[in-house]
Amino acid sequence: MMTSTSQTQVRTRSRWPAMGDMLLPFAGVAIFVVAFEAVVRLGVLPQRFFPPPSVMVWALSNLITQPEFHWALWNTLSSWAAALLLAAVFALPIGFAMGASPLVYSALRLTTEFLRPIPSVALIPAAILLIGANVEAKIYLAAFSAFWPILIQTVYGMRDIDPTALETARSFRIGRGDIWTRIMLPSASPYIGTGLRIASAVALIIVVTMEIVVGIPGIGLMIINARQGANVPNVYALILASGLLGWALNTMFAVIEARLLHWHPSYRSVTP
Amino acid sequence: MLRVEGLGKSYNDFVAIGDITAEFAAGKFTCIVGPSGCGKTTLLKCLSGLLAPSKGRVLLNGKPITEPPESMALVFQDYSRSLYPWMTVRENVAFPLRKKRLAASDRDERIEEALASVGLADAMDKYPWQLSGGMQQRTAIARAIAYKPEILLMDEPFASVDAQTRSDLEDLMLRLRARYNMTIVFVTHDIDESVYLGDHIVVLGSRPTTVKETLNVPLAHPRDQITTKSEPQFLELRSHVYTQIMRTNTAQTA
Repeated sequence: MMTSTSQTQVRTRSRWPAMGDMLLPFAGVAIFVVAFEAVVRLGVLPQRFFPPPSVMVWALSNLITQPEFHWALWNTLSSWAAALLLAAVFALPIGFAMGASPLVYSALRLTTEFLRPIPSVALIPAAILLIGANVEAKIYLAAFSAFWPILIQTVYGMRDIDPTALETARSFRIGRGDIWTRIMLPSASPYIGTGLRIASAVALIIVVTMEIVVGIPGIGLMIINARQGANVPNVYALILASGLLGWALNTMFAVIEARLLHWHPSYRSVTP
Repeated sequence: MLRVEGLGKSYNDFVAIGDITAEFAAGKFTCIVGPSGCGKTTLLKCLSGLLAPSKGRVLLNGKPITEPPESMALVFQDYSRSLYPWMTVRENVAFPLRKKRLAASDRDERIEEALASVGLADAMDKYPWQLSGGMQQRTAIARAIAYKPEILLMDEPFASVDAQTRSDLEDLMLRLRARYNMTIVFVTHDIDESVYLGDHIVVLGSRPTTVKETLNVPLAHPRDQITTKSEPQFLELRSHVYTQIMRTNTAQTA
């Protein structure tokens, strides 16, 4: 019955607003780009420091054929992946333990609440002292920042498991292993998915920050080098590239989530 | 045979169940009816071994129950929380069978038969949330039936569906009862439902809960929503149970 009402809601919307919904974001981007171009071309902003979008895109299209750019992209991406993996490997089991056991939760709560609010960038000097100005420092610091969203979301996910779902499993004498893998894990997965997506964004921010601040190879260092070489279009092209990278990674996570969590209320399609 | 002896349940100072002694005859349909908030669900959870009683005990064939027994299946009121949304209808029904170590063909046969018996043969590959409330509760009933329990416990299973669906599901339960030789313990707050479905009725009073009365329902089978519900005997029993429950309520407010 619920299905039929939502179907009627969809049906009552006429065709062209549906097309409009799809085109609207692109129209927004187009208007922004054109306005930006006009503002720079008309001299409202100094062209020396603000190249028009057309120049940025041209610079970027030149960059993406250069091996130096590929190498920088690879450095940034591999550090990001390593940091996220490292964060997940620690955050997930600790999150499961904290979510499942009130004892573990109360034992670790104070420590996590003290460590979590520390801004990761404030730890850059410590990371350099401890590890050195190298790739490892970049990975470990990014992993440290990415650890928290995964941990917090996993704990929330575990605590939000419906008691009825667990009681049902218990009444059918389902074993502990199956309860974990078939009930608790799927139940907590929407939260974990969100945690991983936020952690991905955080990890990328810290990776690029470390590259810029400490001068570790990657997109960030390439931005610094372009600035020192006074290659303004390249600076902006690289900033644009890092933005596109963040957007692509986020989209990737969103697509994976939508596929794996197709059963979840926020991803359910109206027609089966 | 399922039996409760001097069962009581308290949470700190709060006494949910005072003292209940009752017997649920094998192969019979027993309805537990009582005013809302009288601890019906608590009683059912104690019966199923999900909850340990504070005093007294639950005996299954003479042995005390300390954990959910293998011969028992439970249908919850809230099907939307009891069914797993990440599993299809078929997977939901199959899930409790994992530990039974059945041959694949035997297992599939059980699942298909159970789903066919509740009229869901065509919905096997859908997800529960793609179905109406009534169909979801049918899925939960099929899951319990495929488990082949000797005792089926149902906790206000039709309390959250509309009246029409409710009558359909009541008739479904009567058909299933005739088809499978199960002991059914059915908790409800609906007096008509308890008389229509039950062979026996256990009437509970309000907190601290005790058994007010145990009745036999001598209405003939097969029963029918229209003719059975207009029989003088039905109306008589219904008024009787109603009076019992109202009396406990007024006694409490007085």
